[in-house]
Amino acid sequence: MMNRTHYYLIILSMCIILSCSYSSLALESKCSFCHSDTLEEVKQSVHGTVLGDEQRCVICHGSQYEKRHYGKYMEEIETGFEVDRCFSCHGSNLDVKHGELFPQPQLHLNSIGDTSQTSCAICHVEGKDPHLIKPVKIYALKDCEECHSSDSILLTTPSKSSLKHQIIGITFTNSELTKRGQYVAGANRIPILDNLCVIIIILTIIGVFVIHGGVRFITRKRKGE
Amino acid sequence: MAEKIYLHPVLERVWHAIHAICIVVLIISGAQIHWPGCVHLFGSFQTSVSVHNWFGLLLVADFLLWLIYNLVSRRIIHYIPNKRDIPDGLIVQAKFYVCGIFKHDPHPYPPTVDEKFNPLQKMSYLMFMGLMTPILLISGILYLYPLYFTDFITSIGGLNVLAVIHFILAIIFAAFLIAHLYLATTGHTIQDNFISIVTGYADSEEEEEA
Repeated sequence: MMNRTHYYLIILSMCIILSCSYSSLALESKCSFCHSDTLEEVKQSVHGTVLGDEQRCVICHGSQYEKRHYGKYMEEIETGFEVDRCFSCHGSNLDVKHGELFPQPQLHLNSIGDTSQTSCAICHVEGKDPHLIKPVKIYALKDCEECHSSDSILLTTPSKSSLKHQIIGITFTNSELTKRGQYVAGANRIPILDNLCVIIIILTIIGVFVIHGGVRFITRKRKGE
Repeated sequence: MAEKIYLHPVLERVWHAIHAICIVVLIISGAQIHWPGCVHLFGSFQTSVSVHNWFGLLLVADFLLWLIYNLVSRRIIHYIPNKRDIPDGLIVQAKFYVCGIFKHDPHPYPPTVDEKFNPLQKMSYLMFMGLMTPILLISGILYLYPLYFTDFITSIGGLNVLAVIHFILAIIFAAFLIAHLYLATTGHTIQDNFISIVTGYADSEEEEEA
C-alpha cells in the first residue's frame, strides 16, 4: 500500500514534469492552447508570412503579456495592444508613408501630437479582425468619406440618431469622437446648428428676394408714370 | 442721362472680384466638407478640401491686399461711420429700405466720390471686413495648421470649438452674400450696380449698392 509520502512525491514529480514541458514549449504553442484559430489567421496575414514562429504573438502583444494573462478573469485581461508596437517595426515617421494620402499626416494619425490616439488598425484591417492584416497593396482604406461622414467608421458606438436628435440635438453627433478629443469634419456636426443654417439661408432668400423683391415688383413704376 | 462718376478704382474692382469668387467657392467647398454625403460639387472629399484650403489662402492674401490698399490710400475712411450716421443715418437708410424704396423716394445717401457708402453699408462692411472676416480667416488658418497652434487651440477648447466658430461665421457670410446680391439690385435700375462694379463708373445722381 502506497503511503502518503509516496503519493505526494508522485504528485510533485508530475507537476515538475508538466511545468517543465510547458515552459519548454514555444510561446506560440502556448498561445495556441486557447487561440489556435487566431494563430492560423495571423499565419495567413502579412505578418504571418514575415515573422518567425517565436515572434508572431509577442511582437504585437509584448513578452510581458503572458505573465499578465494568467490568474485574471477575461474582463480583466487587457487587449494587450499598443500602437507603439507597430512603430517598433514600421517606424514612427508616419509622414513618409501617409503624406500622399493625407494633406496633414501628423494631424490625421497623431490627433495633435498624441500618438495614443493613433490606430493603424482602423485603415489597415479589413473587417473586424486585426489579426488578418493584409499587405497595403491588397488592402488599406483610402476613401476619406469612410471617416469623414455622419456614419464614420471611427465611431465605437452608434451616434444618437433619433428624429428628435437629428432636429434639435445640441451636442455633436458622433460625440464619442469629441470625447476622445477629436473633431472630424463631416463626421461631427451639431444637428440644431445645421438646421439653423438651412433655416437662416432659406429665410434670407425668401425675405429679400421674394418678400422685399415682390413688393418692389408690385409697386414698380409702370410705363408712362 | 445722369452724369457718371468714377466710384470704384481698378484695384478695388480686382479685389472685389477675387473676394467674390473666393467667397462663393469657399461656401460651396465648405458645404461639401461639412455635408460630404449631400454636396458633391467638387467631386471627391479630398478635392473639396484642397480647393477650400487654396481658396482660403487666396482670400487671406486678398484680405491683406484690401487692408493695406485702404490704409495706404486712406480710402478706409469710406468704411468709417461719422456722427451723422450713428444713429440718424442708419435709421433714415433703414426707413428707406422698409418704406421709401417702394414709394420710389430718392436714395437718402447717394454715393459720391468722397463718400461711396450709405450709413448701413458703412456699418455692415466695417463689421464684416473689420471684425468677422479676420475671425473667419484666423479660425481657418488655425484649422489649416493646427499642429503649429496646439496650445492656443487647446486653450479655446479644442478643434471642435474652432470648427463651430468657423461654421457659424460661414452661415453669416452666406446670408450676407444673399442680402448683398439682392441689395445690389436696388440701384437706379436692377443691373446698374452690377455694371458699376465691373466698369467702375456709377450714376452720380442716384446709385446704391449694398
